[in-house]
Amino acid sequence: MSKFAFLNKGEARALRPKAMLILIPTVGLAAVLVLQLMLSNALAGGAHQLRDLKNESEQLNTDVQILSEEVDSLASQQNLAEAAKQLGMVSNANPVFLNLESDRVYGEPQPAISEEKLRVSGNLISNTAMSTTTDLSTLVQNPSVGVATAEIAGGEVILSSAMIPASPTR
Amino acid sequence: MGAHDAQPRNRLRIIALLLSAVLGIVGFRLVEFQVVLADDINEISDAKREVQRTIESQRGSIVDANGEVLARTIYRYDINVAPNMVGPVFRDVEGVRIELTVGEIAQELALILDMDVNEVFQALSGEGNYANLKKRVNASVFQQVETLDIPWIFVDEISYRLYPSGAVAGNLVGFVDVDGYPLAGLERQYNTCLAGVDGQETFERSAQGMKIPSSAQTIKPPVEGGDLQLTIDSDLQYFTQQVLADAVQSQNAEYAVGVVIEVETGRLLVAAEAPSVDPNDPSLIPSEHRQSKIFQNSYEPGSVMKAITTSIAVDTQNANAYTQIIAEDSMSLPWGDTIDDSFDHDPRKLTPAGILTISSNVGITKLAGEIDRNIRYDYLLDFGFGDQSAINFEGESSGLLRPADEWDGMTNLTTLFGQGLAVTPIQMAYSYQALANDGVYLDPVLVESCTRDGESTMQPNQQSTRVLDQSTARVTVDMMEKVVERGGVGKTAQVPGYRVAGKTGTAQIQADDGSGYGDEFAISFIGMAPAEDPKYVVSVMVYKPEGATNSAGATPPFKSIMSQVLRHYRVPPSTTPSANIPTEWE
Repeated sequence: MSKFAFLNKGEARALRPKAMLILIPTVGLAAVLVLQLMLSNALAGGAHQLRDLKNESEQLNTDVQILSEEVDSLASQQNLAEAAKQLGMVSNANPVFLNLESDRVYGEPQPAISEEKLRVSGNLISNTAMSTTTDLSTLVQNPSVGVATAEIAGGEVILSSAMIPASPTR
Repeated sequence: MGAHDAQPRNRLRIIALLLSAVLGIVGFRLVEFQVVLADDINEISDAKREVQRTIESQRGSIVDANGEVLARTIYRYDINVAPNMVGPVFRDVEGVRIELTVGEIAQELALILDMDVNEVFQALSGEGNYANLKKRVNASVFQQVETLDIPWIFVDEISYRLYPSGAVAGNLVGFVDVDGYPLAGLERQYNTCLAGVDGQETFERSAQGMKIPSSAQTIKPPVEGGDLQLTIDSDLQYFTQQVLADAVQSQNAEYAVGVVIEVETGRLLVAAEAPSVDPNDPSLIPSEHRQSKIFQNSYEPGSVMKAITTSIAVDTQNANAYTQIIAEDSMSLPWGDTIDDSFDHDPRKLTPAGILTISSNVGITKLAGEIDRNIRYDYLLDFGFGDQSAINFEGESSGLLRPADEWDGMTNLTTLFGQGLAVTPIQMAYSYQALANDGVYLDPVLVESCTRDGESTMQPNQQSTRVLDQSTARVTVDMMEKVVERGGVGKTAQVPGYRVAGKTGTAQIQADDGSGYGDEFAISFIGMAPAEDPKYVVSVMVYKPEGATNSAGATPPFKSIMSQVLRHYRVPPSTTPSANIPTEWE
């Protein structure tokens, strides 16, 4: 006779709760493990995303630094003085002041000194931080770029066709 | 039964015993690891995963009166290589994967880093795991290197001090060394304001070396450095430095200094020097020019001191605008010495204004030589001589003003016209501020504030001292106006449209070997405008100009600077004539 005996239906039903007792924790454990795996993946994904965003932020910071250094150079007194000199700009040593309250004019208007020998000398002040200088080539070749034009006709100052004519100064 | 039955039972017992022993050992170790050694093990574990990092604080900025940045902190980059990992680099070019040899990569790097290709190749050919290719490259170069995506190139980010205006106010601002340690100027003096305090954080790393986001823990937050705001107007400072550099060049002088003061507030608007150090690279000029001569150098001022002496004579009621003096060109003293004027002339009948106009040493000696030396000494102290200014600049000189009881007979007289005492350019300029400010001396102010996290942590503590009666100051300015109206050299300081008062100075410089005065001079002009209500004092001193025997080399720079100052601050031209006071008498 065989060592093993087959269970009848009644006996198997009696054993079923015990199997459920094993099955439920096993499934629960599997679910927890799956959940943990998902969480771990999400966390790792988040870390990667964080790293990418950090890289992007660093990249943008570098861009900001490059641009701000460029602006520093272009805005430096040394660059502006050289650019003004190259454009032939002359400082007017005899400005005239208008006092609107008293209706008076102070000073005698005189043309700005335009002789080369009297102009301020080129830049003499060192600046090794200057990495960029103003490129005047486009401006000089095309005078209409960035230069406001003024035309004086019959005492009336016309700023441009699109603007209101300035009122005559008393 | 019997022996056959006993054997399996014994075996079971042995196995149970062994299992119990193993379980006991495991249990014991479990308790040991989980309870007894838990802390130590956790510590070792944390140490392996945990990383401690310094959170670097940023050094604050230095800005001018208008907020223009004179110094700020940025990053520079050291480009390094791991030579033992150097090899070909694969790169995708338009979808095609290509291999670049080390030689080709070296050429790319050389081009970007502006280096010789052999130099780059040499660095790449080493044995170790570290070699520096280039230090302190800018962000643009760093970005280009990053684009190459070379796995064996790594970059160190370094805090770097940038001075966007270069040598503009360089002698004031000072500079830091390569490690950011302040070495000179305001960088050093105000380090407690500018320097931040580094923080610290810890975080855990994953097996891949990545930071675990939730693990970051700030142990100590960083404290950012404060921002220092100066009273200096950098545009005007630049203009003045340009004018002075021009003067030094054209007169082949050793150096020149220029000061602009706002009379009513005592704020220092310009403290310019030529040559001036570019803090971005201080090594470009000799070390003696890296300091601030305005504060640190003293010299015998010469005749610019006569205006001060005249004001003392008036204030002590030993003189007024009409006092009559007969001034010869030479004066013998009882002990055998003589006091001479700078040029030969017949005896002249001068008023104090006349003495200032022709700058007569004999005249000023006769005018004020009898005033008690102790009284004069006290006045000089009140004018700010003999002591460091309230700015207390790094290494500032006190000048040299010996106590009156130590003056010998000659010093007692020579101090009247600016010899026998030494002053700093800042002292001399501020003594004129007192004349211009109705006799009230205001402490110089160079630093407006230190701001940290939007809160001001430091503000100037300015004191004022009434040195002269208001009427004394007024009449002295009136007399000084005659110097510019009628003086031979003084006339060249005139600014069209404005009334200007001032005084020339041509001070002989003592020879270094102590053999007396040589034939070199410190020439100066200090003036104020508009003379009817002085708003600004401008002081110019040119040291050792070649071949100069008078102050004619100092007035053109003065005129340029004063004109620019008046224009810059929109000062309306004068509308009244100068005071009707005589320079000579009959």
